[in-house]
Amino acid sequence: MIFTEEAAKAAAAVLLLCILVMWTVLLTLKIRRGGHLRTLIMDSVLFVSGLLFLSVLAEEIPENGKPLPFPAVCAVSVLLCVTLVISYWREKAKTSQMLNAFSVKEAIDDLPDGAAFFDINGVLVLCNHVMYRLAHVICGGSLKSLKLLEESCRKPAAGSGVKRISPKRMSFLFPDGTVWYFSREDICDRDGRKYTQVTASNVTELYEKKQELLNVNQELSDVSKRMRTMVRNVTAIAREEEILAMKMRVHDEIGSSALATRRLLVQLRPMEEAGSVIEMWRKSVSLLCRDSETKEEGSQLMQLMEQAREIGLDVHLNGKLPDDRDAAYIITAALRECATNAVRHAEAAELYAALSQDDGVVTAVITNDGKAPESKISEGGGLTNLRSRIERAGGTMHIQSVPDFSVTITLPLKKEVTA
Amino acid sequence: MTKVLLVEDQKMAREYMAGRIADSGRYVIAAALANAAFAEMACMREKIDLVLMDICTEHDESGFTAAAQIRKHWPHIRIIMITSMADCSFLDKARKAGADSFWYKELDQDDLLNVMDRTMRGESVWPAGTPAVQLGNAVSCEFTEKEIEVLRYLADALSYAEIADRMGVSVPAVRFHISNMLQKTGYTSKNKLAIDAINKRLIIPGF
Repeated sequence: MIFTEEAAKAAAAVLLLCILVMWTVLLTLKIRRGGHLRTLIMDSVLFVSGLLFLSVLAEEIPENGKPLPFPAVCAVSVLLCVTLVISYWREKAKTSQMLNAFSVKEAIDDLPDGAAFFDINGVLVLCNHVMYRLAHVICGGSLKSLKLLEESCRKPAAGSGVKRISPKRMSFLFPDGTVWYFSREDICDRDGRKYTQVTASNVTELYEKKQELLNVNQELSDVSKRMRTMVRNVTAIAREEEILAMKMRVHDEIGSSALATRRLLVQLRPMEEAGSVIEMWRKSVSLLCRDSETKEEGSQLMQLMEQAREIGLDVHLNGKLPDDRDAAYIITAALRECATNAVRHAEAAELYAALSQDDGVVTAVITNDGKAPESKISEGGGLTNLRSRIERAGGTMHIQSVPDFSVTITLPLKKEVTA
Repeated sequence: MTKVLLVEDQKMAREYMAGRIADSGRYVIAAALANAAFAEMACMREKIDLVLMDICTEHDESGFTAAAQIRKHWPHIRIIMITSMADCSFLDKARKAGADSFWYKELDQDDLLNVMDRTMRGESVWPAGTPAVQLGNAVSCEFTEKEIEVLRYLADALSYAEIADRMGVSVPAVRFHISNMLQKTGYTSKNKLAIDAINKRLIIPGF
């Protein structure tokens, strides 16, 4: 094989260039791995001297004054290349197992959560892809400092589309529908240097589950509301059933009276039996009459006043009972309790109630003209029942024993007035 | 003649019972009320010998409370609790309120007069037990007291946590009682159980 001198020189130059490039790569890998400076310098010196030796060999051979034949130079160069490639792979394998700045960055970039680290002055030291992307959205620009990130978390950049979903927690709904929870923590490295670590956890699934739970809970509370209504109605239904049974009984009695009469007339029974049939009719008809004669019961308050009068107590009402029926009934119940107590303990003849309404609350002050209690009154069965009833309705009851006995009740009124 | 105070919120039933009682010739109706809370006033107004006290009365006023008040102030008055509800706690509550006798309304009216006569003679007449109610595969008497208590709270539409809180037990204990009841009845949901218990009047919420 014959090579022109120029071609051989060019080929040798390309080979040398290749070797040089590979050496540089290898050296870079070693530096990344964090190799010692001394070994690096020694490696470099060895390499450069090897190159010089090769070039000297290519120029002249000491024995016959002729340069080494080109194929030989090539062979040596290729050998050198192969060695370099092998050591490159070994170096790379070693690097991938070693901890250094690059491997750390690479590792945190792979994290599904966002992570960023700031030094003591709040300057960004390390930040992974996820955090970079999130910060870009929430800050409306690149992440530079802890201060910027914190401000953006307090008030996400206008037009970023980021919505804070919890007033207490740093949770944000991003425009892509994901939810991230940001948290910060002050950490210390091995040498005692302080850093601030900010992490963003993907809580989308948690958020969705929570929303689902809220919906289900809402449904559940609707069901329980319906059930409460039903429970209330059940007693009413049971009562209706009772009335029906009673009506059927009256109907049956009239029916049997009619049958007995018919038998009496058709079968021409002796007149002595007529007496019992007439008695049957009398009973049935008296039941019917009694039913239709019964006066419509007045309101609870009227009933109370009437009954109180019969036990020698006049009830004087100053003001109007609220339209809210439940509240009105509770006040009537309180009046009733006070009325029996006034007669029993204070020997009163008059009971006074002052009623006033203000801002959706009705206040009733109940007093009497009887003798004052000798000492502080201890709440008995009646007053305790009344108190629990009032408190269940969201109201309050205050009892004053001395100098004069008085009961003060406040009750919230329902917004929608059921007339 | 024995003076009777009748408390019964249903007008029809009240009039019917009043008629039957008056017809007996042994009793006279001193007052017939729809609201148990007025019973105390009626007793203050005139001398009453016997009170027939319905348990669930107008405006959700409880006959037990009224009976206890009467017992406290007029120990000599005889009290008969009357109801048509199969609530199994009623017998106990009636005893606590100090009632002398107890009568289930569904039965014949002559039976009532009989109970009244015996009570006036100083006897205490009590039914052998609460009428048994069929719930799914179970009969109400198969439930334990604790289970009935849980059922009562369920009927008030309380949550597990609320029930546990009121009973002073843990939430798992409440779950345990409920799952036992579901197993006995064969029902699949606690709501179904609660609704059936209310429908069959095993539980009367609010009394």
